[in-house]
Amino acid sequence: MINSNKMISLLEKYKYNISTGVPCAGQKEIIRALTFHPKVLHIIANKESEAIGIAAGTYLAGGKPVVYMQNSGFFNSINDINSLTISYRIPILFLVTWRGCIGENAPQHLENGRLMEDIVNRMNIFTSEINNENCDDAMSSAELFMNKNKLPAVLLIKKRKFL
Amino acid sequence: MKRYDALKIILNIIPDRSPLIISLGLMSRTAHDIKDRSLNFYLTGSMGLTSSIALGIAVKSKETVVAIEGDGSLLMNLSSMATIGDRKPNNLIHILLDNNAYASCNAENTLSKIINFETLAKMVGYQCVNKISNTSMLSSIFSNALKSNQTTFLHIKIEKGEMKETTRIKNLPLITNRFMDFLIKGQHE
Repeated sequence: MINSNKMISLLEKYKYNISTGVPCAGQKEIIRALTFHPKVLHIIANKESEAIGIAAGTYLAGGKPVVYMQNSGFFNSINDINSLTISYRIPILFLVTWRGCIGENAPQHLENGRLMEDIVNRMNIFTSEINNENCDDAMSSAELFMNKNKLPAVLLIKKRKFL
Repeated sequence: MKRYDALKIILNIIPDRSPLIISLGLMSRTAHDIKDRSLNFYLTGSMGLTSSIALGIAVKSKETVVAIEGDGSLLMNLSSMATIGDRKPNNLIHILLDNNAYASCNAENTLSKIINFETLAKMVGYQCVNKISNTSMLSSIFSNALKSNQTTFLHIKIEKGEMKETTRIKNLPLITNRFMDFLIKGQHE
């Protein structure tokens, strides 16, 4: 889990100016802040792959997009990440809530949660869990990776508690 | 009208400064073989995302952005029309080339016949909507759309069946680099 003010200040520091995605309760404060941020253009999307398309377009026109989603939506859109953002070298920052890890109470998330780490580690992207302790380093490593390789970065956010 | 005829008219009329996003398969490959340009962004995978990418460019750029996709592609990401209609970029022309088929595959039928795309486009908020059935209509309506400053949807009926000897587009990072070099460099001039 990461403090939403901290996450927003990091996105400000690295000059993100576009946000889109599909909401996840695990990121609700971050999403609310992005939606109303004066320096961030927020675009509502209907599904994760659509958000990736929109974000890719803004990057092609000089924008700096962040895309938020749950890991269920990440799995929905793996083809678009591979065949668009990776194949065309379009760096996008993904904030992905990692449902289905230890403490999960919703059975439908368990299989995605179990596979999450193996799958992102095999993809040609930067991946790190992000939390209050490592967030400055994780974000700075993600930025370095994206700038150098023009490839996406995924920051995984674990939910603090399950209700 | 065939796909080739429609793409040739669009590529002949489109201004040099206008980004053109083209859906995957024969659509991109035919456009590439007719007239390759730096601001042609050829999709090769990520089926359905043509109009979403065009929307992303349109909200960040002052240039008029043109998206061309087939009926299979549009139906795969139909809700993108709601996103575009909500945002209403006045610099976006969304073109559907409809042959009621997955023509880059083996011309299997799509469900495009059961949808009234004009009604749908108007309902979700596109400001200018036209159905086009011949090449002279396409030339005049597309030329006007480029000057209209309205969120535009053009539904073009095309025939099934065309030659398939087209060049495969292989250097995908180059497509991105030259597109951004041309579009973003121009913005600073």
